[in-house]
Amino acid sequence: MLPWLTLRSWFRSVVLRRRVDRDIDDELRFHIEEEVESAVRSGLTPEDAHRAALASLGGSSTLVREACRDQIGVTLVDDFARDLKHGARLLRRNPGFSTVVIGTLAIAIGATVTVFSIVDAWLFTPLRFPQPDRLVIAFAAEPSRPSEPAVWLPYRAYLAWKARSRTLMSVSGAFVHAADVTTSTDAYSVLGLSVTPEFFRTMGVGPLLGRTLSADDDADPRVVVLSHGFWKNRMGGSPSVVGTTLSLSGEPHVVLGVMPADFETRVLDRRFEFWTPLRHDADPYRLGGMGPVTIVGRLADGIPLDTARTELASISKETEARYPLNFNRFVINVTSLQADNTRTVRATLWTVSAAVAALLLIAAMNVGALLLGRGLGRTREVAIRAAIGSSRAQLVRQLMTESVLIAFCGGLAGLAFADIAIRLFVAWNPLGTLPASTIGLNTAALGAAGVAMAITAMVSGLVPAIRISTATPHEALSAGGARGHAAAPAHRAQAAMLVGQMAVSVVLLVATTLLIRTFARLQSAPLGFDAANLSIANIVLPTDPFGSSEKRNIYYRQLAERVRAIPGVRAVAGGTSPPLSSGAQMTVNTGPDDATNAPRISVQEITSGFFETLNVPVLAGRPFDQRDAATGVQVVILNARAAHDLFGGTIAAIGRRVRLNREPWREVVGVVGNVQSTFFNTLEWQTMPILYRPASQSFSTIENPEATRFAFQLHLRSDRRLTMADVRDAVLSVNARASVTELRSVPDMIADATKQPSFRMTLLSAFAAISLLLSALGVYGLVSQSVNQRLREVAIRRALGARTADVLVTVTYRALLVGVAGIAVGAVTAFLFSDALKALLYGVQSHDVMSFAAAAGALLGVTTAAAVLPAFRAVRVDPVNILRAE
Amino acid sequence: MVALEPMHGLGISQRLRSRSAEVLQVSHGSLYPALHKLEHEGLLRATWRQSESGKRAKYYAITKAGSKRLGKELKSWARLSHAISFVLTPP
Repeated sequence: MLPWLTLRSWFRSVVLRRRVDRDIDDELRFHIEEEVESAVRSGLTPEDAHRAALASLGGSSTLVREACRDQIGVTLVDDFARDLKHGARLLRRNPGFSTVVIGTLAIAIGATVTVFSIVDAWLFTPLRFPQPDRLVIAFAAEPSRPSEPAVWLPYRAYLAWKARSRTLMSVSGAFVHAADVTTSTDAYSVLGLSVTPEFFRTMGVGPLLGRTLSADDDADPRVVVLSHGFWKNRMGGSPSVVGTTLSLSGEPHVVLGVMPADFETRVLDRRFEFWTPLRHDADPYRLGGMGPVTIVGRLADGIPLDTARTELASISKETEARYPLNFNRFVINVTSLQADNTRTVRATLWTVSAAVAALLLIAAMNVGALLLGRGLGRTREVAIRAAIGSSRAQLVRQLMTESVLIAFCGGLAGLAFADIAIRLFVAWNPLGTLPASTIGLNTAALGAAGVAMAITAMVSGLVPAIRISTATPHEALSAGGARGHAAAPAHRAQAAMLVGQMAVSVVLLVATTLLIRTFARLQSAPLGFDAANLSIANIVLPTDPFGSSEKRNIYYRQLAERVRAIPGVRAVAGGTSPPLSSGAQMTVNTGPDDATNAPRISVQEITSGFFETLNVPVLAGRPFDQRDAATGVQVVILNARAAHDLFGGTIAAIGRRVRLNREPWREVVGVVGNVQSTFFNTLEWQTMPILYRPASQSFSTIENPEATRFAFQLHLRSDRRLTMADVRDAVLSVNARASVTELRSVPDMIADATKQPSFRMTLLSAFAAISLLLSALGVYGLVSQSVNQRLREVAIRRALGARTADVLVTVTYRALLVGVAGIAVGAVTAFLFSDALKALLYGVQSHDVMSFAAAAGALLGVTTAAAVLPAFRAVRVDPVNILRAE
Repeated sequence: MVALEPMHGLGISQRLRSRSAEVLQVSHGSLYPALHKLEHEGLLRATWRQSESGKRAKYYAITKAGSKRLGKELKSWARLSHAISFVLTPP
């Protein structure tokens, strides 16, 4: 066959169908006229001749025309148009049903497209660097969790990799550089990155203005490259900014250049506003190369990530072996930069994707069951069509057209819904972070919508179509006219769909319950301190007004008095770490010899009144007070975990001595309750060993002659929500050169730390609620249908004296059986797969009996309610009316 | 037949009847759909022309692809008919 001719012929048949019809008619008329003429010539009357001619065509020219049209495919197009019209008519005739099914699909498809767009922007849209898939980033990880960064790498790893690596064509080191900026009108904290000179070359991006960092800048490292956002929002966005100075934490830095708007570097999913040279000649980078860095590299051409990982690990192992205090107990964690950038959100994105897929499946099966249910009511219509010559294929096609129409309408509405949902998501920003690439309805999202529509059309259309058309006309029509019971396969298919729908719902419900319980545990877990009404102010000031520890202690006392005078403030104390963060890690020794494998401990420096302000109980000994003066006995307080780890118990620790790094020995004077902390990208609260030092003896920056700034966190407990102005006035009245860079409420900080589990829980709860509603809808439909079919039977039984309970059982029996089967299948499935959620759970087992019971109970309750409601219609029937209507 | 000269449907049916000495009588109800099918497949080309009687009629002519197919079909028919007659001939 010649394809183009066929296509042309089809085109003619569709577009020029009237002409095609006329051609056929003309041809046939010519045939008949010629036949008639020749017949008349041979002696027949014109009437007889006409009849004979028609007979030779098979009785009617219409039939021949139809046959001709069939041959060239006009019929196919025609039939589709007719099916479409028929489907549309059915939808219009039953607006309630149409609204429900199209609405169901719109929600499911809309949710799918929304989630797909978000996941696509995060995980699949490449980062905006040249050859972004070649960029990798490295940390050190615990051997037990090799894929999660645990600590930074030592600077010497960067030097070794740079010198010896063959798998990386470019190696650079980077570390977070937190700074505060104070202008005449404003003070704020800003996060930057200290980088080695190769950093920008590794990323492969040049500056928008000026230049980036070079190796020459090591001579005078007080230079800075700004991000586009920082330049626009904070520096006025003028090109003349290059060459001016910007004060970062009191140190003037010369602005070298500005990066383009789409240059966004993230490390551990944190964004940075500026880049400064890494000061490798200063502590802690100078001594033994122990300063912390992450290493950002670009893979050499053709080298896979695994090869690089193996090579880098072996280089580090050799280098580290040369040092007594080394990193060889860690493993090297090398991931793609994109994987690192999505570290915090990935688990959430995958969970939500799985949930939305489940929702789509539930919706498709639900619509399928509804269509089957309605199709069963149309068995008679289908049977008649079959009896008068519709082929099975025609019937399937007709029933399919309807579900395609429904899926298409649902898909269109879903796209509109997704467009709104995506905008809301971006505005709401529930994860607290957005991807570098924009989220939107792009071609990929349209493709996803198409796939979702196809899935729903197949699931909801094909099975019902095949099942309903299976009924033989003889069975359907002989089974009792309009009340005809449909074929068993259709009933079975409908029940199977509802069972499937409920099973998936149970899985979704179990997952949701587990996440709800996790969140509840996170919320109710004792944090070890009282977060209510607590705020944290970050205070920064120059060290030069102090000079000595005495002067600094006097400053601190004055500040505390002034801040306490703010109306509403009840308690105030200073510390070096905000709540939930564990503070700097140091090695701690308890014996006479410095053990090389000494444990590490978090160290915080606090003022007196700290434990009172936070409501942390003193378990043994005493808190810090005025006895702990700068020149007095050097003391520390341990938390219960540290006391237990180091000395075996709370009381046992009192009076013992500890030594941090190579500092002087200090005496333990007290033990306090554990305060929980979080570690990046881990969900659970952690109880870290913590050592507290009195600020009066050791705000360590004072002892560091190079330090020019001094920063601490003011912990405030107040009766009302404090404003920035309240705190700033009080702080400035003590020292006009101080600045308050941040004021946050601790409950807000806790909410931030639990943002991901909260979002997962909220979204899955919404999906689970929809799935419950759909289950209810499915069961309601099933029972209504059963009531309609059995109205006559029920009436007779009522007339014969059947009790209400018997009638209820008769009409709800099948629905309840379906419900129980669905719950059983779902519970087993959930049991098999709930381990996948393990990493997202806290304080609850993945096979938690309570969660399974709650999920099953909720579904059973909803199912029963949805079954009983329509069943009462059967109870209320008046047998006389029903039977008289026959 | 259309391989020799363009013909209209009625002509084909008449020629068919006379050439086969009334043995083959193709119903017109099958003839026209078959012609349309061949046209749709590009084996025949149709044009509207004056007939001998002066009326407008649709004439079918064979196309290049049609001749090729005809050759093929004829060969296979020859093989088949030969085989059949061979089977039916008593030894």
